[in-house]
Amino acid sequence: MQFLKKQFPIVLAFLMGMLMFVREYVPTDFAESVYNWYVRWDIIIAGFAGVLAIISLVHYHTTKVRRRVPGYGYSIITLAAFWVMLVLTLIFGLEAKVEGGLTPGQWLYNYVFLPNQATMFATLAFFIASAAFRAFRARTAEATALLIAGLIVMIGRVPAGDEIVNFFSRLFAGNEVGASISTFADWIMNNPNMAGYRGIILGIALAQIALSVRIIFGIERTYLGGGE
Amino acid sequence: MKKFLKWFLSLDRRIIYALLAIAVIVPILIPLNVRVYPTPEVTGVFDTIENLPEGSNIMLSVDYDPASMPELYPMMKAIMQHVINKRHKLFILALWPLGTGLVTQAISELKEVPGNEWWTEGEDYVFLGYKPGTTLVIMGVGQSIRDTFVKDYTGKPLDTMPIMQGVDKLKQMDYLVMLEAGIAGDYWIVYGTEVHDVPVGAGVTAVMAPQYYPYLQANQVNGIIGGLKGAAEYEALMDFKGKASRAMDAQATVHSLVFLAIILANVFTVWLRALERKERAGGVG
Repeated sequence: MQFLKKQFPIVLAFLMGMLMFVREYVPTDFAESVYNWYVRWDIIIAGFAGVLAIISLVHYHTTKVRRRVPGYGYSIITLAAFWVMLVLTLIFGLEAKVEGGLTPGQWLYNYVFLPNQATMFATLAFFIASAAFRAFRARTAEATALLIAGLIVMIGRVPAGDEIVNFFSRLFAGNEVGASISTFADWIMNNPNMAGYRGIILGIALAQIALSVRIIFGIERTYLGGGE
Repeated sequence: MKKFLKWFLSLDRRIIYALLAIAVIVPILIPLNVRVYPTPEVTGVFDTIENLPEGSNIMLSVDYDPASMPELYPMMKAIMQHVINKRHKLFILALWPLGTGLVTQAISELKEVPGNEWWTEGEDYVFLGYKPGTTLVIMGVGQSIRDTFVKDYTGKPLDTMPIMQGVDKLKQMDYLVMLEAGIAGDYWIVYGTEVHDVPVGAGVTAVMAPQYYPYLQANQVNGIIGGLKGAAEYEALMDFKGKASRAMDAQATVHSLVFLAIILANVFTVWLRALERKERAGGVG
């Protein structure tokens, strides 16, 4: 049992990792078919992960309700939403999705889930505005640079920036300058921002390579769960 | 004066919320009709679809859910309408499970648009639906779309569809547009478009747009449609005023309000500090 829990997954990870690594350097039909077979297997396993997630969700919330953990009312709503959606979809099927009318599951998605999630996300605007007002201060030189760049991008990513500049340009020079602030915002995105992000992406890529090597050679074992 | 500055800097958040609500609601009731200038990033995606020969294969990857709907849904509809106008073949798939409902909604709405009556499921477009696994699905469509999906979203076998005749791999796509609210876009580039040499354009939420610029400069994407403004720019290029263009008024006022609030808060902070310094100096003196 210990072998199946500890050694076997490490051996499996090593074999599959090395197989996929070596395959990249063997341009043959056999290598291609191995890759196809691997991808199909992986998609099936990913499907099982979805089933596992559902079981975990139901188990977690059922336990919370049974033990009357504070806030268990939300768990009742979660479970009710889950079962209602599941049962309705199983009964009425997945037909008439695009052509014709809505199934009950689709109706719930369109008229309950969709506005709820959109509303949740939309309320973020209020918190962001309030937080920006309080926290976005030029306290140091770095914070000032960030503030100026942020303000230019913020106003340049909507037409308001260009409209304001054009208004004053019309007022004082008699003509419009077109997309000025948005062009400057694009310059910030295309140069300082891009340089910063490129560094982050390279760092992530190097970390991914290091992690892959650690997993393949059994150094990284946290994915096995259960600690040491 | 000092009292006013202190009051302003510790403004009750409910006042900010109320001002923000006014900034959103008023432009919706009284349109400002702000102009939108298309940027080269958005033009890159538009021009690719515009210049492809009629009947080209376009793949649309819907990798977002209703939380990002206000930004990405108008973008998705504009792109789909553009594909319809150019009479390209459209292959849609979703890497996010909750993206499927948005696709069916968009398809239903587009079918109602006058002039789109000819647009037929299975001939002009196919919705492959959702499959779990993200990277695996991308790798899968690289090998075989039929093997990965087998049936379309409504359960019809892909083999029977005219649109699928002679098409089975990602590399047969003339263009891929990915609509992203998460990390799937990076996976498309790493496991899909770079491997199979497919040109790709990215439609992303405004907050995600900065991270796509390295891909743009490296020609790994040939255009970025960033947030609601990007969608409005795409609509402007198509010469029609959709949801994104109309929403630009509200977004412009809200951004202006936040912009003004931040500047005032900073100016008032400096002013307050100067007053306090002066007071201290006066006190010491």
